[in-house]
Amino acid sequence: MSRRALVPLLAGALLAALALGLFTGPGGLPDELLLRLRLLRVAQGLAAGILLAVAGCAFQAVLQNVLAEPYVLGVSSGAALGAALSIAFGLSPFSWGIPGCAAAGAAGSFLLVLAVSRGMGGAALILAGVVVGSVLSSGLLLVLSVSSAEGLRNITWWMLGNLDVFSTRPLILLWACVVVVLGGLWLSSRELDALSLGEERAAGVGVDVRTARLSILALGTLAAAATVSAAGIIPFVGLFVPHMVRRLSGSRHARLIPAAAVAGGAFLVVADSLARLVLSPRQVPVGVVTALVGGPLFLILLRGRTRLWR
Amino acid sequence: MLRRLLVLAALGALVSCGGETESAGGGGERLVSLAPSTTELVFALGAGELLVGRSSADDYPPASGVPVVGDFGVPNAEALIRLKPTLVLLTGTEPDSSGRLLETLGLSTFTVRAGTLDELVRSTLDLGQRLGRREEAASLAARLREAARAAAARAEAVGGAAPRVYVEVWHDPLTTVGRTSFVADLIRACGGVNLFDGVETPYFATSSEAVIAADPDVIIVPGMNGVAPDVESRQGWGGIAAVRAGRVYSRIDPALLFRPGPRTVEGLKALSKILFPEAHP
Amino acid sequence: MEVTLRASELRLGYGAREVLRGLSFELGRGELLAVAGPNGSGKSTLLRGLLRLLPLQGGSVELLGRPLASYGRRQLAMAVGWVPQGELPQVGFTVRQLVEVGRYSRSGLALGRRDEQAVEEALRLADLAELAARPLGELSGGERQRAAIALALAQEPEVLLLDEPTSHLDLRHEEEVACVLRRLCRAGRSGVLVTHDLNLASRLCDRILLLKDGRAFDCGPPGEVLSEAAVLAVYGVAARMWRHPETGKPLVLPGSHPVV
Repeated sequence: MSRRALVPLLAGALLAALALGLFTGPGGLPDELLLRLRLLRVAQGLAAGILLAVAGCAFQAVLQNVLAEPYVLGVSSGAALGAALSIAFGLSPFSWGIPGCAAAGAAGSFLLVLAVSRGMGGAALILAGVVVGSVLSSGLLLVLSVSSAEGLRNITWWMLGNLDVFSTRPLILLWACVVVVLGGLWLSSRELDALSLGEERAAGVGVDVRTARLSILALGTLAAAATVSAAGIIPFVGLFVPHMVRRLSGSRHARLIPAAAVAGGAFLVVADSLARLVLSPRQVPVGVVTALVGGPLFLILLRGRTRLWR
Repeated sequence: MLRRLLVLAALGALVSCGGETESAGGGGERLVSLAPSTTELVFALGAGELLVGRSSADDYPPASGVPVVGDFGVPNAEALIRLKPTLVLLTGTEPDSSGRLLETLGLSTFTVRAGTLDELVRSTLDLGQRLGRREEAASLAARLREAARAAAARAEAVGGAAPRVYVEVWHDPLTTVGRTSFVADLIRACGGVNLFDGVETPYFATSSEAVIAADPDVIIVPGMNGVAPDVESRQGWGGIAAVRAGRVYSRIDPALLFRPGPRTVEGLKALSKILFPEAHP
Repeated sequence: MEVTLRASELRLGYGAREVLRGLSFELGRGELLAVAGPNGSGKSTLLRGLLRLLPLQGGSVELLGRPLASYGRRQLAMAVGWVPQGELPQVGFTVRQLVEVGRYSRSGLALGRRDEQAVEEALRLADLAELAARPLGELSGGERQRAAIALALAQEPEVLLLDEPTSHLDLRHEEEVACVLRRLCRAGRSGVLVTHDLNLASRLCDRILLLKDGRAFDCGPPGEVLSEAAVLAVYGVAARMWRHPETGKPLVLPGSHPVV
């Protein structure tokens, strides 16, 4: 697709998403109060969508794996375990609440992955991530099995994803993460380009592979951890949006990252609007919507990819 | 010789004690309860000594001393075999696997259905019959009916529109109750209207916006583990009728509202006062 | 002749396992040096050592008159270009976008005129000027390998290290790559070509460094180094030598008896 079409297309998608997010919902056309509430929710959706999409780009480049997505290093399992412990046992150290415990769990799982894969290359990271993720998931199942019926229900619903906003403080924190992650990853565009060619060629052109890999993965993990803590586990955005956008923007990260950010934000805002609207007053978990919408779209995208390298 | 007599006497005392316990009440029943609601009911009917096993979720009465034989609705096979119960109490919400297990073990079951207040009353009487505690059951049923009647009368006395009630079960995501939940029936009995009576499931997730749009008159947030979230300071909730009128109630034991049983009497009283605070007895 | 790379008593290995046990050689400007030897003799290890991907366990390396250790990471990338073994991963870059990655050590955050010129020059040297805007996925194997070389050339290196650059290519594409390499050396660059193909080394390279058991077995022009005795000693294979009827370069023909 031509370069010129990219910007208007993304701008159009973003505007459509914002319109959907602000002007539709169980409350109908909004008055000032409702508009402000929706604005917050849209801001949350944009932030989470941006974080997940650019983290997906980063992980796919560094791990040289087109199926990599932000949760591949076990971050979501750690966050879910943290949240589950908080929900089941009412833990809230330093009055972090559920998001704080989820964030702590995510940070813990990342450190664990780093420690396990110490000194080995990129492939070892994925392996370590899968293993750590499995172990933490087992921990999660243990918590689920000893929870009360209410605890079980609450943990499950939390995990499926929710972009509702009650106060501005966590939203501000989330957007602070957006600035750090988006800025950091965009400034690392050249490193990402080089790393996507493999660690050997990246080293050959002069990239400090160890440092670049670590900092990029840390940023990606921050993005995933922040999103899971704030909104639960939202699948597919980090996997599917980079693929979709690459078709339009090309693979160079200087363009891919901002494009993925816009697309990811728009996609999630649309998904969240559907989550609020479809079964109103019930709220479908937004993670379910992204999977149901993103899954088939991803399949269509893959089928259209008939060209394989000769 | 003397020692032998003493041993025989001791054995005789033991046997006769056992005999007494067995002959009092439902003919030597050994009860197992798999839910907090049925456990409370058993104790309220004065049949607590018949209970040989309870679920891990049962917390009232506290320190009952009854051993745990399983989780909520899910019995532990070995514990059941060891205890040899004669009757297992169910609520009708157990998973199929539990029913099959009990069938395999050849245990009799008794289902205490309590989806609504009427069902609770009827089940109380049935259980009382089954356990040989007819009087206690009748007394409890009467108290339940009286509480409901009093609540209805209070509503009538105050008059006016039925207050629309939002009950928040959990805050992330916002989880509330639908028409088929027990608490919705209680609200109806007290002369109120559950905010989302249009939804047919007992529990479901909703959005901040949906609650604001529905504009409840009363908000009840029982919380969990004694912790209730701060509802009034939520973005956009300041304009809700309930918040403006200061009718947000968080100091209520969730068991009183969500657990059908003897304490539903107190639940009805508390709910009635919440919905119609003006009328003073 | 000016020496661009000098290795003395080089010792390299992976932890306790020593692979190169005291290797010494020199690389002159404009020279294409082949490094050949059996599998495990240390050919790829040598390249990794020269790129400082492996720490030196002994000996020294001088690059362009300075010790290798004195180079910063970027400086090293500006002096040495690397074409590793194997195919490019399936990234969605165009040829030009791929080559632009090679400017990492020389450009700022955005590419300037100097960078664009260097990219064009690299494309020209690798004979890819017409294909610059094509996605890598549409290229043939040989074209992609030339793109990989252009990527290294964009670093404007003095020395080019290539690890089996034609192993996976058919004859025609091998010729294309060989042409490019010869052109580069004529223009003054030095190259180290790791290969297991003795005949390729013979017809393409100025000198051959034959490795055996982590040491230099011999080093010199193909005509002097390649002999039946050498092939037998290094590879343990009986072979006959022949001369190319036109170029006069030695050819190694394995197998002294016809295969039954």
